[in-house]
Amino acid sequence: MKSSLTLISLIILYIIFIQFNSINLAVCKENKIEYLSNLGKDKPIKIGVVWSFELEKKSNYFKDGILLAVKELNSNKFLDRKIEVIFRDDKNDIDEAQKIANEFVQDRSVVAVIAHNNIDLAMQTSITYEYGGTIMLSPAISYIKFTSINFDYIFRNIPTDMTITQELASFANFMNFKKIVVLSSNSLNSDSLTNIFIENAVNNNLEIIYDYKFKNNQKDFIKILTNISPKINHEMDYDAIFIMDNEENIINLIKNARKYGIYAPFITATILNHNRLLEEGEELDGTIITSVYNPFILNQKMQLFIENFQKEYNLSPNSWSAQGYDAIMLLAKSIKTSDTLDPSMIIQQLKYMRNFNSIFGKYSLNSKGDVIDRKIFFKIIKNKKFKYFNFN
Amino acid sequence: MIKKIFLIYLFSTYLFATKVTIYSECNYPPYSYCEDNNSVKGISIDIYKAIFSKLKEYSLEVKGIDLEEGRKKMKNSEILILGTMSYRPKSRPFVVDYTEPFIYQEKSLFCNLDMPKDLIWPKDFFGLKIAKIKGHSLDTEFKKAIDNGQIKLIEGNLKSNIMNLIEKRVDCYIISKISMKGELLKITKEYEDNNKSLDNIKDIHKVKLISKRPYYIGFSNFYFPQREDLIKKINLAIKVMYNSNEIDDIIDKNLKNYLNPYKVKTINIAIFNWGKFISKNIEENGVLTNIISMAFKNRGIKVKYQFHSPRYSYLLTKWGKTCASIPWFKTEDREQYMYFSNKIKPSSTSLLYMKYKFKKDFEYTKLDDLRDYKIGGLAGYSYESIFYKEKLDYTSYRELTDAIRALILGDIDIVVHNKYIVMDVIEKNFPKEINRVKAHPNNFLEENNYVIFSKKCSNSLEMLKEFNIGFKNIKNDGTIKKILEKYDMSEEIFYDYKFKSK
Repeated sequence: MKSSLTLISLIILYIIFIQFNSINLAVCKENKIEYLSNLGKDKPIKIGVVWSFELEKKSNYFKDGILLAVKELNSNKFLDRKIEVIFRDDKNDIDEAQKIANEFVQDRSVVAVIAHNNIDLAMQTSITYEYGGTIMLSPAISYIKFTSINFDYIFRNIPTDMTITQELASFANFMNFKKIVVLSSNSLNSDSLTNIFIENAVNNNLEIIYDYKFKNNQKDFIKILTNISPKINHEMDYDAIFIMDNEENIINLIKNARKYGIYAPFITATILNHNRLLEEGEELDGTIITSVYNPFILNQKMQLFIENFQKEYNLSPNSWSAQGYDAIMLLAKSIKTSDTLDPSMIIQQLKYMRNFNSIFGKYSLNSKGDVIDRKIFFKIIKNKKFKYFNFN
Repeated sequence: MIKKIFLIYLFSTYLFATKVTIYSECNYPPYSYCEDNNSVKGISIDIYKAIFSKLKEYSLEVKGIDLEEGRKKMKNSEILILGTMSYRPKSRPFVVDYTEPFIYQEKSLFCNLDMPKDLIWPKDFFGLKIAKIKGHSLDTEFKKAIDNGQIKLIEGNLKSNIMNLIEKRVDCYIISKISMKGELLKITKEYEDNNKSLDNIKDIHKVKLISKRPYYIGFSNFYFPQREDLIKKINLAIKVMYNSNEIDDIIDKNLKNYLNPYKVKTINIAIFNWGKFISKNIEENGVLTNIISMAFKNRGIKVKYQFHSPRYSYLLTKWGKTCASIPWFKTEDREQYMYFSNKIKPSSTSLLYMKYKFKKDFEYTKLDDLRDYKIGGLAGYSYESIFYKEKLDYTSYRELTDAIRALILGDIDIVVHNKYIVMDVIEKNFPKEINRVKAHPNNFLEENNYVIFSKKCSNSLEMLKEFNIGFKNIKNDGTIKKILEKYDMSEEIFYDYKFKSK
């Protein structure tokens, strides 16, 4: 029901968009296909990259990952021409993101765009890219409904929240978390993911002993914490607490839980800012984080990526560097296999990409544009350090 | 034939993992050394274990061996893999493959003579007696000086060489700085304990860094099918471990222990009031905590206790916030989360009732006999699950005093708990009722109590082992008996005579 509502609202959005948008996306698409199909070998492959770069002030890990991939591909002559990247900052602003999308679909030379790290921006601009014939690959949007309309030009190289949540339930079983408290905000995304978690937890023979939904953006957790504090509610006996909300609330709730004598491990499917978590203090010790990136996997490609990244930037890469690097590599592979720059041909390669040998190991894409078979990793905060679990 | 059998032994495939045996030197702490029971420990061994924990297809066995014997056996293909080897293809042609280096060791020259700085090695040391560990390699110049009789080489093991240096039977010793530092700490302690002069020890000082060499895992020339794959995977694991600082962390952790051999370890234990055995109001928190403290103390471990309710004590331990708790019965559920010590104290759970309610003892031989009664007990105890499972009329109380009060008031018919603890609580809180309460002659449960160690704490198995040894020691040397006497407690009461007799 919710899915069809989203679909309807997107179609309405698109109709409104078409009515008021001065760009004729169909013409853009046609022009682009024709131009790129006949592009001379001396011309570079142009890929747009749109991200909230201003938010990453200290070091732009995502950008660095992209640039490293481009450098390697160009120096190895992986494709028969150079790759050129056009970076644009969406400033986390929906109008700015739309403006950039309009520019990229009108620019006949741009084959694909790697964009955004904000769900609202990604959902809206995906319509422009789809109808403007420009491949959009998101390295950050795990929201299930991002690909639910079955667009042809929209892809992602990050596992969906559904996959992450399903894996988390298996992980909880692996950790012997037999009795679980579930806390989640009643936002649409949290609610649906929590339900997926509960369903999979039950399938794994785990017991949900307490399930509480709080209001979206609720800041006061006294009632919840009183209910689940074994110091106050003596009947309480559980092994872990599943929590689903935004990053700020998760951190706030965990910190407050410690004041109530709750030292059970918190587990979450929310992708959190890992560096920030380590700076939050010892109250977060024991929190288990989901990650799509594990620098310690025994994978030659991953280790080479880390080594090259460190050599290039004198820094260790993070998950965004890896996601950015992988996005470029995935596009390069699909362009090479399709042997053309025609986006309508490249998308066929992407849709049927099987066993892509990435830095994360082998993964595939499905016709919806979702990544499948990518591993999910779990790590725990201990003494301000992350320790990865030997799971999967 | 021998080789075949050996191969089967070394690479026996069970489940899906191929067993790999690495032989490692027995006499080179803290890198690789054997303990009394011939188990081999050290930095190198911890690194091998960390490597193999990442390789799903292989499992690891490490065996200690004298280094020279190891090399000899490797030459004869009796040993396929030898750990911590330097790269010497010319002098050791029987080692045909090496992994990437997994550790770098510095070797320094320590002497007991005053020497100027900036001496040139080895020429400025001609005429001296220099020691090294038997089996450890020599650099070319050093070897030449020995062959020419310019330096006299004395070979021994780590400790005998240091003793020779202290006793001035040799002038210098080539050894890792860490090994020297750790061993000197131990010897200094021995000297102090025996009131021996430390003057000679103080004379020993580092004169020169001789070498910094990489060390590898070496493979013999006897081919086995998985060799290439194994080396490739070990190399990748080493790379991962360098990238993640895991190797540095292993070295740091080992050095911390090695260089602080007398540092007192501490364990936090969650406890709760348990009659006259554990209580905030008794000296040293009661007889049981005193015994537990002494058992740990016997192994050089200090204990810190934290009082909570029984259920919260258990939860904190289950979550790994505290690493141990006492006293607990063993149940299937608890075994999923906890390691259990050896038995520390048997005890029985009784059914206690008001004498006026039952002129004679009520009939109790089986659980079903309790179906008509209202029963109360303490939250968090293992007996609760029995009542819940059988759907008996059971009420869980947060405090034992609440359950006893309910019994006195007639809200419940039976209190289920350890009778000594119940009687103790009645004596303190309801003294007038002491003669009105009776325990049924048939015990409800007869179990043993244990120290539980959280599976969430990384050092739990080590603590468990230490506790078991310490407990056995203090039982054998009469310490427990003395503690019981101090608390004016007979062994019968402590060990629950009735149960013991069964």
